[in-house]
Amino acid sequence: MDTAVGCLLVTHFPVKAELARRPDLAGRALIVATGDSGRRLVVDASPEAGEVRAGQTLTEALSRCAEAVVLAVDDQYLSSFNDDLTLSLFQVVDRVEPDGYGRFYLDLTGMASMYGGASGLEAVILSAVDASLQPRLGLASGKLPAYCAAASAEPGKGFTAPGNVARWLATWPVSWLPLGPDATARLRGFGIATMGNVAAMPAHILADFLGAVGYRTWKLAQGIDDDPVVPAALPEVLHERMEFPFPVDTVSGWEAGVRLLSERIWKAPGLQGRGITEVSIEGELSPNGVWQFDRRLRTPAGSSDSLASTILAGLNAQDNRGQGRWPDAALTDLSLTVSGLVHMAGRQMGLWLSERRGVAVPTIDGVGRPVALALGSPLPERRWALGSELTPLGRVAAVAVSEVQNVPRAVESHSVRKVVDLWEVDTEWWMPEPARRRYWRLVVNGGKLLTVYRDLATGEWYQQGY
Amino acid sequence: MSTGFIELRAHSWYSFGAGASSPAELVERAGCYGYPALGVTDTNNLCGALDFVQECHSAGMQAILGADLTVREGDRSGPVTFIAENGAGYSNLCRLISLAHVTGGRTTPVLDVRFLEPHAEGLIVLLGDPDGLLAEDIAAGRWSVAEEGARRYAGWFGAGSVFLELQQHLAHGDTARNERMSQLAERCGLGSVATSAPWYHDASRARLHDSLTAMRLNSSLSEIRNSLKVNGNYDLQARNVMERRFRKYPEALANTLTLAERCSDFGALDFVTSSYRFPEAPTPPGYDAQSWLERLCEESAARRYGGVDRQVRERLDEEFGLIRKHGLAGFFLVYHRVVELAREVMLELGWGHQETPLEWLPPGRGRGSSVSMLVGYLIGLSHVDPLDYGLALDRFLSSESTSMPDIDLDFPRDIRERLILRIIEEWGWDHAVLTGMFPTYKARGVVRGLGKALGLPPDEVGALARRLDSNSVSELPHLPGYGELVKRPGWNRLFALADSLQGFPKGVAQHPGGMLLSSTALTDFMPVQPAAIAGRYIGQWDKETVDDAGMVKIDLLALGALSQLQQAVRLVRNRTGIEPDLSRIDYREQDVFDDLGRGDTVGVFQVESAAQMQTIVRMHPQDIYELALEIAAVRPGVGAHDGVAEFLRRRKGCDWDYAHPLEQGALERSMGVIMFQDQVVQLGMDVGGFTAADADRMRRAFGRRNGATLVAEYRQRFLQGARERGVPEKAAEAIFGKFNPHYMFPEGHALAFAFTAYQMAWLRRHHPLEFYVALFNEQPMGFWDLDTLKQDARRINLRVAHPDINRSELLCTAEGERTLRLGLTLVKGVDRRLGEILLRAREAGQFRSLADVLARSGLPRQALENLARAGAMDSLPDVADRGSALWQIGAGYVPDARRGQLALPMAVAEAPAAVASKNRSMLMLDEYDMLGLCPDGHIMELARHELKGVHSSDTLEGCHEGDVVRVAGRVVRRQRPLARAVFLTLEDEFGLIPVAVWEHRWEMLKHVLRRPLVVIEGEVSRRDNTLNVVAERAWPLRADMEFHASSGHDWR
Repeated sequence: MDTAVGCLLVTHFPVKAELARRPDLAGRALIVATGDSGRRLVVDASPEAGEVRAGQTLTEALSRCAEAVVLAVDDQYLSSFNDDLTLSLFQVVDRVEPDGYGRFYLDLTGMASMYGGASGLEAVILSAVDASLQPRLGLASGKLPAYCAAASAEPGKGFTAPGNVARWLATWPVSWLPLGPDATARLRGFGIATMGNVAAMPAHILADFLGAVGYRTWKLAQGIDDDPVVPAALPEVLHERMEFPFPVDTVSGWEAGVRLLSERIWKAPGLQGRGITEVSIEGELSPNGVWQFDRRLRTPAGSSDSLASTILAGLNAQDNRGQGRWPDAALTDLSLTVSGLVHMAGRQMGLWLSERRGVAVPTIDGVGRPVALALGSPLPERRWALGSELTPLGRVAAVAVSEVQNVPRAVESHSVRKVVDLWEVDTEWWMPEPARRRYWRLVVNGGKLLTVYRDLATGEWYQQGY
Repeated sequence: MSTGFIELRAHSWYSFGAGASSPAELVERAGCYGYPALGVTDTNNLCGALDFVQECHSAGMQAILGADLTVREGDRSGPVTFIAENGAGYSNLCRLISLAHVTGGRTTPVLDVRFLEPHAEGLIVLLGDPDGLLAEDIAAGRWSVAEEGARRYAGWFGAGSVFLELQQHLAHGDTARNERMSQLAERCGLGSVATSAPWYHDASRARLHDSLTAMRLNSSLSEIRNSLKVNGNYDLQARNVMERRFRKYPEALANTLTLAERCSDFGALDFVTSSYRFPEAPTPPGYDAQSWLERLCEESAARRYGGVDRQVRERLDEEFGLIRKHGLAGFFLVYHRVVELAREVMLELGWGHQETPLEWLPPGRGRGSSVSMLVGYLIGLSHVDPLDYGLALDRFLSSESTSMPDIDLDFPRDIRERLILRIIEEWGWDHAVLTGMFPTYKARGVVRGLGKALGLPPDEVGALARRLDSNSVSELPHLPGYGELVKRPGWNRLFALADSLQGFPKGVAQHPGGMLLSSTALTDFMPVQPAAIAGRYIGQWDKETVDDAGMVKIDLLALGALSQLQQAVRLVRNRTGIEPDLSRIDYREQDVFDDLGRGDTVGVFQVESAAQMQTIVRMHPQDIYELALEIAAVRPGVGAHDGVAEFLRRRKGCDWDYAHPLEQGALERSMGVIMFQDQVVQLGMDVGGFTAADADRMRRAFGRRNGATLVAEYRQRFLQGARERGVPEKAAEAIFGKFNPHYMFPEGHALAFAFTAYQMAWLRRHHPLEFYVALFNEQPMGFWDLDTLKQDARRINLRVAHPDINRSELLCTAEGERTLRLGLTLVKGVDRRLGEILLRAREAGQFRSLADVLARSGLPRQALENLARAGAMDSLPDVADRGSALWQIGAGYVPDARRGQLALPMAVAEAPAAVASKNRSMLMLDEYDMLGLCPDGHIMELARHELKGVHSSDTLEGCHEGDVVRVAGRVVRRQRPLARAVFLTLEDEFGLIPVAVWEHRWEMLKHVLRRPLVVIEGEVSRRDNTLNVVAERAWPLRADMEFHASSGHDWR
């Protein structure tokens, strides 16, 4: 049969994408939900989340799966992850059309012979994508049948639509046709529930009923989809490289190299008015070996300075052992690759607040539960966070407080000179993590004002970050 | 005063959607803290004022009354607290609350600041609530604005009556605000006052307070975090706690005592009682109220009886004497005036004739014990002649009566609607209002409300609520699945809160009919607010409070049955030209009593329920009084001691005797069984030796909440009285044991209803088409749904015809002799407005085709499709079937935006053969979906072929006692009287099947029996011509997967 079109489908894309960057969450109930305030809706959920379904409210979902980890949907990341997949597919097929998250149409005309036949082609395409994403590949004569074929495939495998596509599609529900919910419901109201029912109707009548899309709908139901695959432009990647005059083993030398590469790369015309969200630094180690450092930026870098600062901040940040991320040996060269370009036009300080909210994601606290993000919360650190790289507003830190008769006398080594105010919070009792706290506003030695609170549930003391 | 602090600003549960404790709980806690006085300032109302005053009185505590009102100044508004120092202040407070509701908005009352100055006398103002404007100004550093505001209030109310409020809940900002508020008070020369402004009596109610807030705002707790209190310290605080918190502000503490002292001379209950005056009725010159009433009665008696004979004379003299003794002549004349107004309305609506005397064709009908008054019968308050039935006066009015008698009047709906407005017009909105009522949270509302507040899955919350049988949340732990649910987060909190929320008032609603009239302005002593229906006003007190205040409530009730009668009579007149006068029909017609005795009573007022059908078949009443006995029999108070069964046994001739001969006077007419309230009163007098008034109080004691102590006292007195009258203790105990707290009808009430029931049965026999048309049009009538009514109509050879786009009117109509044409507005999505649009289009000529309908009707596509699905397009020549009609509507519909004057009735697309025809089941399900009924079929026809060995209602007749059978049908009714059984009514395509389910079996089967279509296996029970299937097993019927029509009415 003619299998000129392939459809690579990654189901549950948001969850799989999150697991790709948070492998520690594998095997746990995971929910990806919209927004950070008001009525949050489930976008996707892992199988471990049981009865949780897309479209439920988050509170409903949590009532069904209390132990779930909740992540806010990160469109920028998903978009970038989708781009990565597109790029991966471009490595094996030259014409790839992404259609939303996790669905890619491939123009496979003549490709089978390049890979030793249909099975070879299938294997190559599937292997282009990380196996953990469990891609499904559908092969057919057109986009819609290929999509249906992909949906019929087992995870990680391919499926070729049968020869008689119309017959095969006849039992598929009309909801698989690209119609709106209203038109679909009306068709169902007439008992036209399957593509076969649509195919059986005279085309002109369907055109009468559905208007302009009627004829195309009828053709699709026949298994005829002559829409071409419209290939996407390759994601933009910029690259700069420099060689050190001699192997450099000092941080200051490496930093200078990073700044130089940042300046040089920013001279590329394609970066005018745009920002960078993905960075890769690579260097040859002396005497041999390769060192690499990759970074995905939550806040796009919009200048050479911000790019260099962000990279250096990441490299200088200490890991679990208290070490920086610089190489252990001297480098003979350094190359900088940037991608994930985004438009930066219109960025201004006045939008800072909303933008800050817009990129909010939950952070995971010490016990692996997400800290709820709630704009109306009386607890400052629960209102919003800025992502794993930045500090949530009002972040709290454990602190040692000595007390006499439940009144703080010293905070760490600072003795308390005066209690300015005292207040209590006992709220969010309906949430998985209620808050019961007694706050103290204190003046300590040296005249510094501190706000500390005691968690009345655990007895622990914390210092408020303001 | 012995304490250093008194709380002036507590909030009770009458601060709807926020206050989380009852007045009793607040008073009790205040008593525990040793407070000598307590102030309650609920939000925007005085709904609980008298309740609170009485609680305080019982606890020996001073009650301080006030209210929080939202005051608008320019474009800002915030709460201000007003406390009544004396009667003038209390009156001003009532007026201000009324003004806030009347001028500010019905649902969001706001008081414009301009109203304050003229109503300042006698009021003490507390400024400084943390949500108020003053606190806002202080927090924002607008010092001069704050000072100006405080001085302005001092100018209006006097510096000695304005206090700045300090609150300390250990909330962030309290300390700083109190500091500044205290400074401001000093600067302005005003006092400060400490309050804890509690929203609940105990900190354990903090979560309930949060939940109530969320429910009031119709949101989940997460969505309204900003509106919630930050901690649970908003409870009523002990004196020592307040003293510690306000150590820095001793004057603020001391001022609470001063204010309480200033308010100590004011007694709200006495003030209200002395302020209220029932209106005087106008009388002609030369007459006072008594002589005018007597004159009216004499004239009417002459018309009724052709003269005043000895019997009438004696009864009239007795009643006139009682009326004179209690000063009730004006009272009766006001009622008479109300009836006259109703008659004016009736005549305006085209009913009756000017020349017919009022009492011959009264616009309404009395119910309740007032029916026993001959005076009432003669001045048009009742349609039952008490002399004909020997009705005793004692239950209604006796020489020892101390409270105003209660007269309830039923009217057809349209008359009542206009009458209420007419009364308000006659006396004025501040002198004539409807009594308020406070609907409370019952089990289902508790589950739904808390479920939403806690953000639980709505489908699961709804499912749980539907599983509840009773009004009590105590049933929750016994529901299947509770064990699992209670482990889930959120649900455990719902269950924990449910018990404390049950019984909380939700808000102020309109009492079904009680009106309050006063010659003094009601707003001088009771706040008034607009009702949801334009032109009506509600008092903020419910009927118990109104009673406590000694006010007279006139009950004007809407009775759908009277509307149905009225409409049916008009339809008969339209069709035949003859107008039946229902007051003059033959009340002894055997055919009518035979219909009743056969249980042929679907749609007949009072005798149509499954339980009544079963009883009436066994009683087979032969006259109006027996019908009244039957109606009275199916009341919980009669059934409580198996009274119905006992009465039926005795009626069949089994041996029985009185517990003591002294019972005979009271119980002779009901064969020794207590059927009426009056009989309890009579037994109290005859056996217990009570006075009539005392005996009536004893009767009422049984029904009082927490009345056990009172009942015990009456029992002792009853036994003592019986002993003195020679009744052996055992017999006296047996007689007293027959009394119970459950409801029974007064004898006159049962008779009044019996007349109405007979009239309906008479119409059903002689004018069945009009009876059914009116019944359909007056829905909802509270019992059978339309599909069951339609089945019954078909059973008596009426044809129920589909709505028709060219023949139907808005409502159902009679066509020819036997056809009931369904109205357009019965079709889902076609309301009155759309129906009128269609009728206007039809005035230009009948629709000739579907294309013509599309071009001219002006209806939206959805309405057109619904009409087609309901069969309303079937008669159009170009509609081959409904599938093709739908197709053509879809293809040919032109949206409003594109519809213009050039639209022509052009032929539209042909439907494909594959979709054109719908099979019988699709058509039927469409009709159920669109109309709630299938005009010419029944859902069970679809399932019948699958039912092997299952009896239908007609084959069941041949079964014998003890046969084990299976039956199937739509569950159209569930009832659970006091008996230990649930009664279901199944309906199949041939008729109704009564099913009894014993309580233990119900617990096992109820989840199946709540499905719309079921199969039931059980034993046939036949007693006294009745037939029941006693359910043992049950299964859902598969067809219900697609059946979405309204399922059976539950007992609630």
